[in-house]
Amino acid sequence: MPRQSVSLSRRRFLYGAGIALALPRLESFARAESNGNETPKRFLSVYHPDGVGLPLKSDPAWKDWSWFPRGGERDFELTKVLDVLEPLRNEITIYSGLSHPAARRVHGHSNADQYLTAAATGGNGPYKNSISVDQVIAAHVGEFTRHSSLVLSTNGGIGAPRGAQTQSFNHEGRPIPAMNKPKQIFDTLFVASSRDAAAKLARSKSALDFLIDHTRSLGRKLSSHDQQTLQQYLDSVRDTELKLTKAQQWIDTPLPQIKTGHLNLDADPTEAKLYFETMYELIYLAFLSDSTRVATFQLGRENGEGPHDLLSMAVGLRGAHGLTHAVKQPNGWKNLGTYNRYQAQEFGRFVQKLQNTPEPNGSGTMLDNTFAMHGSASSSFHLSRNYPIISAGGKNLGFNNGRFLKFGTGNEDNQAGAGITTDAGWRGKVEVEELPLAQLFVTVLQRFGVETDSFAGYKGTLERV
Amino acid sequence: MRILMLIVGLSPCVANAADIDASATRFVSEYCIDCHTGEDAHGQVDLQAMSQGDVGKYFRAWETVAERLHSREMPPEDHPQPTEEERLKFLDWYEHTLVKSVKPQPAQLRPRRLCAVEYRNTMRSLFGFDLEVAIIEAEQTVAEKSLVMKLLPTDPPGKSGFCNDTHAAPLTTVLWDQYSYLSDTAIAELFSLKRRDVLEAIVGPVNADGITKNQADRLIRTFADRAFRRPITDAKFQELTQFSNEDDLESATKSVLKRIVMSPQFLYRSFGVDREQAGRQKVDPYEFAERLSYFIWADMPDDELFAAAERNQLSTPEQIRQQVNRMIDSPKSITLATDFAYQWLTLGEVEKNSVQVPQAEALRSQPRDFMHYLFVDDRPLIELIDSRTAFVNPYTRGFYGADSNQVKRYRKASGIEREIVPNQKITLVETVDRGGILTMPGILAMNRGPILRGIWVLERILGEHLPEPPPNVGQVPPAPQGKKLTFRQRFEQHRSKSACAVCHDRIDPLGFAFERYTGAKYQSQLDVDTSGRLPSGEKFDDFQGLKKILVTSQRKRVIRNIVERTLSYALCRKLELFDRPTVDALTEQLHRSNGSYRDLVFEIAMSLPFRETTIENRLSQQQESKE
Repeated sequence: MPRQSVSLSRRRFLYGAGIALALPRLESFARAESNGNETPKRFLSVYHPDGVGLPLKSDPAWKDWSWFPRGGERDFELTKVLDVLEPLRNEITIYSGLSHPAARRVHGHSNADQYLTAAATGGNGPYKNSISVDQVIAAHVGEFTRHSSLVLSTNGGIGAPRGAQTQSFNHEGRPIPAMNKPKQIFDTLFVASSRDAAAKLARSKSALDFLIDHTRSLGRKLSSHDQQTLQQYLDSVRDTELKLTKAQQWIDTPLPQIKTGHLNLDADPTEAKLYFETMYELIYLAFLSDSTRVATFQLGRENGEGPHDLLSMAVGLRGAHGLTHAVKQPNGWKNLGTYNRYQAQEFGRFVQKLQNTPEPNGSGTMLDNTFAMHGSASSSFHLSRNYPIISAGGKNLGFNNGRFLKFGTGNEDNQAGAGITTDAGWRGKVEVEELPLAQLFVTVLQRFGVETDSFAGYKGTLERV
Repeated sequence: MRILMLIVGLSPCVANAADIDASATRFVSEYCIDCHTGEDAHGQVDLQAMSQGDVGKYFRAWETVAERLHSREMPPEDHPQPTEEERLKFLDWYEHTLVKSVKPQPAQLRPRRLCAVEYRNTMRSLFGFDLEVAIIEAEQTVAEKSLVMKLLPTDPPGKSGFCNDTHAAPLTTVLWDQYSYLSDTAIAELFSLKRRDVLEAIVGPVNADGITKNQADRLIRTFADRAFRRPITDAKFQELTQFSNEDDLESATKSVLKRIVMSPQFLYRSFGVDREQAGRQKVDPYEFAERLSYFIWADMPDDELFAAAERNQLSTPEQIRQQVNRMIDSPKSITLATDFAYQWLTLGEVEKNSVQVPQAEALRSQPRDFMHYLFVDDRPLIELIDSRTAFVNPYTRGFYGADSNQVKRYRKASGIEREIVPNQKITLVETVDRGGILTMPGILAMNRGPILRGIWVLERILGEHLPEPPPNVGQVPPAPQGKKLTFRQRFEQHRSKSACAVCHDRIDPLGFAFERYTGAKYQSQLDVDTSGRLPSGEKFDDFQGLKKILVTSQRKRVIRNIVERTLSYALCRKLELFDRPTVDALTEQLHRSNGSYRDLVFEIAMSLPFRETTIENRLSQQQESKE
């Protein structure tokens, strides 16, 4: 890696970031630049299950532990849940009154699947999803980087229909498996598989060609059900083929060199705080090294399944999902709020880091060229409305921060559905008007240069954003 | 109606099913038919047509109706609700009249992807060595050494509750990448100097120039036979070895091996079964051998089992009994404890409640060793609940009073801070408060509080399925001022509502019986109310009383649950209606004969769902659609 080819300014930022980083050969940058895209535009979406705390105004906990801010667009006031973001006040926007219409009467636990897709995935019966917004962006900018997107979650894999453990869905609506082990993520991003990577790649390619040709003959006698199983197999073979093709294009580009001293790659969700921080750090490094420009990260799984429900141990509370059920117990709202506050704090730390890092290959800070959002597909207990969404950064993309944007009508003080702890709540009639979250996605897509005026069938952009 | 027809098409027809009775018809017409009728029936479930038509034809649909009622999803909240009595009466009709009329049938043959544990074991058996993580570790630590388990994502439990039920967990690119990486690693290792002995055991002495063409062919042939768990045809061999355009023989051979271990026939079970003949039939000997080995070992058949399949020596009861015994005697049968019992009894939870390594390991290894002992020493099924044998090490001896004197004295070698110590088998003579799974320290510690304990016993030991608690459960209220109430008393006030009582009448007596066990410790002097009354009307004073009931009047229920869990694990699927007769027969027989765990494994191996299958192929489907 010829150090001298790295321009002075870039080297300076690298030292500033406190890590040794050898950049990819300049050709790869040139390739990106030749597309008239000097500065990368990045997208991140972080998803947390189980919503947030929304006590009723009459509840003493309302003052401190209601998630949404109070006040107007500019003069909003953050409660204790989000006060950790106060220093970043001018870099963030908080939204209310947004949700996906098709899921408004579906139990919150079924809805992680559709947060980025806006598809009508429903509460039971046949299941079909569609492409997620991050993948639309990845299709647009993915060719400039080694990885078109980085899909992460604490639980890993794809989960189950209506129990997604990934936020990303491809153009056919098939879930994209998420990575959850820091070591694996790091190796994927920064470690060449081995010296004979090319030979292995060739062997994989030959195995793929063979399997695609010869698995078909196996299918001839299978019943239609068994053919579907075989089809799943073939689908992943084909997806792998696409990945291999991409890998082959990049095989001659050296990987960025990252020192791992400050990373704890064995971190496990049971060590919640360390794990959170490591995952965010990996996303940061992936962006910094321009290994990818699109990332999604899902914290836990809806309904608290699996050991990853223990993320709330970061603030000394057990069972993240249980917190939403226990809000009416002593300190219940406070406990849930404390956990949500912690999530916001880690997100804030990440945002801060982007803000502290000058854009390696452009103007401003990395944050100015990154649109990072953080949210959930339910607000109050299992209620799939009024999603609690924060976005940060994106100034150079045209986002104007430092605002609390209320959309819809009839719920100015975010009390619709507040204080519910029973399932009658989420099943209740939709009495206030909310806008489709997909309209925010259309805005985002347009700012990323995707020519479209709709997403998942929802037309139009969100005004004021 | 299209959806319904499809459901019916998928389910094997149940002949002679009982007709719908008058009270069930009344229930349906009162609470369901408003929405579920005619052309635009909600969910395309036309209950009117179902009530009038042949019940057997709509069996699967009725099953769904019962499930929805059971889970209280239907009728929807904003519609008239049946009383609890009406609801249970309808479910009773379903359970006792409709279900009882079912004829046994084997399930459809379905390909199933190997779960992570099976994949690890199969790769180990196929290659002859374990893929291990390159870490040097102290002996005192417990770390996952298998590279496979490190890399493969955890399989979510399937509908059966077991991870080997991977029917709903599709292969994804992440899995594919890991399989690919693991295959590359294993193949490279096979050709390394380190594993020269393994390679030479298959192909004979290898000289300095590397393997010869003949050796390569032999390697590929034996490798493919074993990987596909059945002999491959010459045509298949040709197919596998062509197109390898690499000049170097070794690389070409490596490529072919990779094709083999990435093939669906390796990664899945049952793709290799001949589907020429559709319909109900006995499984072929290779499929049977595979079923047996994945059941007892979570691994592919070994050479002996393979040979028995080849010579068709897996058909008489004697032959099967002999194999079952041989396989349980093999150390590989430990998976019955580490995989099967581990998932059945949620032993993973045990790991969560102790921080220190030697203590945690001591608590975890007790149920593991005990469950394996039940199989290996051929103990009667009911000893799960009542046994005089315990597995104890210095970290758990404190729970066993005077009986702990049987445990050999243990002294930590100097310089060792903590160390994992193996268990020793002891006989419980004086410790009446221990023995059996229910009072094992780790089990008691993992289920905190009476409610969790009650639920665990109800679900895991008695095999009941509890629905989700109804909405509005609220919380246990504090005692009114000036009154001193125990948790039990306060809880009883709280759950007196009929909606709660339905389940809590079943949960609470079981759970509160354990009140003298605080955490894992037993406190005989504790002044608590441990008495209870089961819904059956039986009363007991304390845990000993409950245990007595469990091994006498409730014995059959316990055995039935053991049969159901084991059969479900063996078949790698949720049990269906048509498995009921098999479960009933096995339960009856093992109950009457005081059957043992080996009897259980043998009886399952001999049972209809295990030995038979229904094959559906494209041709049979086309014919069906014409009819």
